[in-house]
Amino acid sequence: MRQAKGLIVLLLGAGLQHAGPAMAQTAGAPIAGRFEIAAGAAWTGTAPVGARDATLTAADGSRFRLFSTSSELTSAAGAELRIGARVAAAVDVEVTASYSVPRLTTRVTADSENSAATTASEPIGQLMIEGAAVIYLPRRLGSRLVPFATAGGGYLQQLDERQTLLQRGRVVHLGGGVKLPLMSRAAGQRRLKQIGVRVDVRALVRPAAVTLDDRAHIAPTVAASLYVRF
Amino acid sequence: MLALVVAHAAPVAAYLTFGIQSAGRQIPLKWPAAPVRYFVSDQGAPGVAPDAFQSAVGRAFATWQGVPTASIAYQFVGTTGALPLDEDGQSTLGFLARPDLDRVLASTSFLVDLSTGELLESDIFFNTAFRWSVAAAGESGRFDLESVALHEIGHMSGLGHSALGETELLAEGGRRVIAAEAVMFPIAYGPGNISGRSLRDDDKAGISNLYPDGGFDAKTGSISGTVTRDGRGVFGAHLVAFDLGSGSLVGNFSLNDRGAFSIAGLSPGPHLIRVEPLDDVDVDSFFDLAVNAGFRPAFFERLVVVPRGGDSGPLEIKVVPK
Repeated sequence: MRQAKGLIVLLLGAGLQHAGPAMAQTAGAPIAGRFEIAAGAAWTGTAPVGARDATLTAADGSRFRLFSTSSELTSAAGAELRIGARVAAAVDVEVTASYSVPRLTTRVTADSENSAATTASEPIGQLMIEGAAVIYLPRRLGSRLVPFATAGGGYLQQLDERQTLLQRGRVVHLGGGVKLPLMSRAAGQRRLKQIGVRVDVRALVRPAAVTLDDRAHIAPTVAASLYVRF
Repeated sequence: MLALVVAHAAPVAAYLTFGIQSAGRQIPLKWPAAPVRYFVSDQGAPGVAPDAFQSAVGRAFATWQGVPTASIAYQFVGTTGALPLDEDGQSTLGFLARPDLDRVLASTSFLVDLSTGELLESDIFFNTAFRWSVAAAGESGRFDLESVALHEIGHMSGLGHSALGETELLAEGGRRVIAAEAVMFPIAYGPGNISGRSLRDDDKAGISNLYPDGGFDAKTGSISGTVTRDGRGVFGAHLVAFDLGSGSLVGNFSLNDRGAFSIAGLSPGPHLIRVEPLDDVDVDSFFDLAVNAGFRPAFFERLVVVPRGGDSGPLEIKVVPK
């Protein structure tokens, strides 16, 4: 336990060493600069997208199960690009484009003719374009970490390897994270106001319209990016 | 050249429809124009008055005609004293006493132009060797006439049999349906059962594939490829495409020695493909030729995303011997 605490302190210390001289923030704003561009990586965890039985109509009108399926999108890392702008002292709005290639995987069980349980899958190119509001929280974590909460939504498109459309629809997310400024300039001195690292943790909600069983499903997402503010 | 054929002919690709060989190629049997005009026999059967018979088959025709993605339409012309199977240029539905056909509830015959595949006449007879019902809720001990008419009108329209069903052998011979998901499954539900009055996705795909309308070809897609075993094509393998989004099941067969298949009329989106030997029904209900049933049921290892208005591209599904 002590070793773990020591590691955290060491990492924060490294961040401080890379930071530039102490900066004056824009008046009232928890973070410098008005505009932000960022690039980074995101990892989305495995999430179910639906379970469904293949059934026939039995003689008594009930459903006879031919086999069962359960499908999921596997975890995948991808890239994301983001632009944002401050619209209030502690509020940014931003647009993020992300791309990843998870696998749509379906596990087949309970076959009526006793076929062995099997898994079928296909790589899926997933593009998301989302808009979000970022609200900076009033208190910093430690001396430099700027915490924020975020909520947004957007558009998801999934294509298979042959660019055949699998799904298209809306998604929403809720989450939060921290920003760690690495280098800042005083207001008015330079066009570039700040460079830093941002870490996000989000719950990505795929509504019923973009799942296979007409139910909403949630996937965890962790993202890290390098940002520049002007 | 005309020919009167009964029940089934050679299948053609895209769906198990009736077809003929002409000038070295397969031609599907279909009506050249709608509406298809039909007469109803003025002879009833025990428990079924002629007007009740006409109403029941009228409902069955309306069910097929109600498929929004198919252009097929039918027109009742009138009653007739002619019998089904008379080669008289008019399509007639009626009862016949055929006690010799002790496992045939009903049958459909065709008069076909063998040069074009155009259907010229099609008759349907219902076998009075069985007890029939036209009651709204069905009747115990009697076969539901509307359900059987729905199946036979599918044949009359050019559709072959579907293998989307499960059966079990009976001790006294024959098979009993455990479950089915196609009106065109060759074995009827038992007496008193009215589950066969509704078309399933497989039936709708079949009739729409044969008589496309309402943007059917543009709105749906297909999966095609080959089924092979030890590098050789498998003829007569039954394939089922399962829509992971809707649960819809649509089937077809590999239809030549290369094992080529095509499943058409599928909703765009991800599908799981299951392939199985045709060993759950009498093969001659489907094919005139022997099929290859010596392999294990299996699932294709890839999910196939069906494109809107297009085909998945060629797939090779490998099966292993039993």
